[in-house]
Amino acid sequence: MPTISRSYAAQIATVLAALLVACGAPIVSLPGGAPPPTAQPDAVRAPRLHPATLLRGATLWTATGEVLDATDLLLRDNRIAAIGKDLAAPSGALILDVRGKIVTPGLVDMHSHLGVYPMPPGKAHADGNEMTQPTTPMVRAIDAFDPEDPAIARAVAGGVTTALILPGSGNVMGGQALYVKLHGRTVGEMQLPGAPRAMKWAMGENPKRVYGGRGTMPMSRMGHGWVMRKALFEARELLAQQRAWDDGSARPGPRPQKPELEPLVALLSGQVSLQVHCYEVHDIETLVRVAREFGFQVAAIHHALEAWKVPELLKDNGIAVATFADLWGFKLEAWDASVHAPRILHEAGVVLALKTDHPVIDAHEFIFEAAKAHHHGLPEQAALQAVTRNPARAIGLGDRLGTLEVGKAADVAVWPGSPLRVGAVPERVFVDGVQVVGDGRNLQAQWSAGPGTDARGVCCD
Amino acid sequence: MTSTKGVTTACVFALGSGLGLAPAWADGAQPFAWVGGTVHPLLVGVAPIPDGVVLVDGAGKVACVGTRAACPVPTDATVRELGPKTAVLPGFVEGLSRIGQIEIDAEDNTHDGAAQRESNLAPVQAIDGIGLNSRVVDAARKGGVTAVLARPLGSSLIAGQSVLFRTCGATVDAALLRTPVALHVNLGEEVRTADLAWVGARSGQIALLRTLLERARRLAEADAGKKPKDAAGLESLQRLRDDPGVAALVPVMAGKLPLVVHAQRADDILAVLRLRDGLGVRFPLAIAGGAEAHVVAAALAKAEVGVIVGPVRQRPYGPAARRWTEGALGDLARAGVKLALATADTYNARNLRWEAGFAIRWGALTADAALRAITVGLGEVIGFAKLSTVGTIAVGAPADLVAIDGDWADTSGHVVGVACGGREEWAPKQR
Repeated sequence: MPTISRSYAAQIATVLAALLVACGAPIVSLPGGAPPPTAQPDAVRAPRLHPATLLRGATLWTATGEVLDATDLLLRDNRIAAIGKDLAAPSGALILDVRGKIVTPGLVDMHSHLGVYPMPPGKAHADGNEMTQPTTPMVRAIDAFDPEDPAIARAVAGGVTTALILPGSGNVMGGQALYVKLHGRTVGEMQLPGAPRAMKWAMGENPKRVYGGRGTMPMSRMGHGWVMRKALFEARELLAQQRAWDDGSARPGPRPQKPELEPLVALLSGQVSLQVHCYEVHDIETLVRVAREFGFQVAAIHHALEAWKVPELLKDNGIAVATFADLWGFKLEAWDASVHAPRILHEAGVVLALKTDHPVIDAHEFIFEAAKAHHHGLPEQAALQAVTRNPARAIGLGDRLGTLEVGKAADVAVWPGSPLRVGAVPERVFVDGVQVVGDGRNLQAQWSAGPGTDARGVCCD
Repeated sequence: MTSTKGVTTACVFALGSGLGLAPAWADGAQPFAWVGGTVHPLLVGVAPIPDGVVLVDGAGKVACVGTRAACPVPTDATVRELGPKTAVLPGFVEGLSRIGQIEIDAEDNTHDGAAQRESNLAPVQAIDGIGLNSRVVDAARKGGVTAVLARPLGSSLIAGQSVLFRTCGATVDAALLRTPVALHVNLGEEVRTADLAWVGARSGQIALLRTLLERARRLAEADAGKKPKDAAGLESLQRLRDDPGVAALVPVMAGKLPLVVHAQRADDILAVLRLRDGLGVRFPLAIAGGAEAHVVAAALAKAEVGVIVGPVRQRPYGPAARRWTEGALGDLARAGVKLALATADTYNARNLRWEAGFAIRWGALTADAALRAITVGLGEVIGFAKLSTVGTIAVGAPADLVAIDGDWADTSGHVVGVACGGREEWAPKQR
């Protein structure tokens, strides 16, 4: 892609182009028949200096729609333990006077390539797109995720506490996603325990550009549709054989297994949260048509820059939208975007999320997406919900995190003023009750920077 | 907060942009006055004017800038009564975009394309590839960006000559502000051309650039009256003159056409300063990109070389940007380096003012310095500010204005009005 920015910036641009031109699929769990990788219990990954933290007197933007003035928030272990006035501090609690500050839930980025396109960009770091065949539902982001990606520390410094790490969009079925909390030294420490399974697909231009460019299917949207359906026919057949085997009606041999199809069988069994890169109206319609044909649910469409034209189609089918605030134009399927889309979708009652597609938007600047959407008419608290509660819901975590409510994860960002302003960054960020950012330190940067470096900065030289 | 009287042309603009067409600019402009905001003329020695007036006449030229008392509004003018928190600013100027050259990035048939088969494309003029019938142009203008610098695209060592144009008008001729503005050189690992493989190395790039500029210097010296010693010398000069790649460099060596070098690394920037020193001609020079410019801020200041910084928000990871910090702009400003901020974006160059907002938020630039850096700054860095009113609100010049209700540098402020080339576009709506 011709580009004005050069050298390192051009490398980023190249990665961005690859992502924008081909965006893919998430992973979260396991491959064929194997047990899911076990996530580490929180107590192991989080060095907890205090059993509890009491944030005194802030304005809470709870992301439930409420704004609570001068209210205390108590974090105990890895949960929000209490919200109210004049809360008593448990013994040993860290007490922080945050009067005049705004406290929000930690941000939830449901479309991120952190760790699978780690910084700096380069051939050695391009691990997000297995573009060797158009359907790779069996590959997993967890096998690529680099917990030492320095962008992770900057992401958490920007208030991001949870991310869904997706494969890219070069493939029709890109693979399985990884749910991470942005705190930890290893993949095992960062992986969200007990997370759902999620998978990424891609509709539209990217797969046909990748494979059509090689003279192979899919070269067109027609071919794309067949590639999808062919894999689903095979999965449906396998599922039928497995069910017959399980109920004893047909056991011609060992229980039928195909590891490369297992994720699709799980999808057809209702066990996978399907996240689909999908921009244009006719691609949304194709996706819905295929989903009805095979009886699976689409959790969310991503980027979705034409979703604003058909909010009722999305609402009627229970499909959330994860979009950009104002990115547009870079390809034809991004050409008819509107800055008013977040407001339109919100007003129509669609579950509206914003996301970074990091590194397309730097994860550090996730909150700026919300600020821009608010600028263009999305109400203030709806803008916050679009980066917290709504993405949590759209990836199956709505009962665990994304709002400030008792019992939810102690993922919290403390902002010096409104987060919906240019350049807003939180003063403190808690992940599972651990202060990862605050008091001039960034714990995640310390880990990714290695020994002998100053843990105070995200970047040092 | 605002009230209107008289006829507006907003509906015309809205219709045109909704179809993805250039606005249907009326032949005659409607006189208008923006009254009551704080006017920032950005002229030397002129302070911001609270409760000020900008009056634009029927020819689209700024007729008066001043207080209400100093600028009475004629009865035939459309009057916009602005609140005291509204800022009236010169239209913003973007220095590193591909606006007008690219419409849909992934669709080659919507590009001007990148001329890059040869290392030296000095004769190439960006103006020849600009198209104003563009949704991208419209988006920029509705964001308050009324002027854009475009250079020939591609990764040739010498990219060619840039053009400065307005983001309004049916054609590039109607939108034209200046051409050529500068000669643009690319430096670094992205430079790749087919004719000379060794240009892939930075050292090779500098060597070829030096050779070409030395040849141009001989022609410039001859033009200035230095005669060749003999017939062979004359013939040699004529050969140089017949080479369009060398002839196009003569204005640079004659000090008439600034050189803008696109470079990120500190060492690349120093190599450019050494090159100019070695040539012995202190021609106008600027750096564009400049992710590490702050590392050599003192050298830039001493050489009186300004920087078009873009993108403003770097990512401090790779070899060229690892030393970048949010304070980099502050280091440059404190050293006295002239600055222009650029988005280095195309589709969202419309958000240029927020890049200034980041610089302010980081404490790197004062609000005044940040505003200058997205208006008059580009002309000061490249040198055309002496010859142009672009980026200012100057009486007698065509009106290029933006009115922002609230903090101009923040998302809390909204563009409520734009004037481009003297035509007012009130309440512009982004698509």
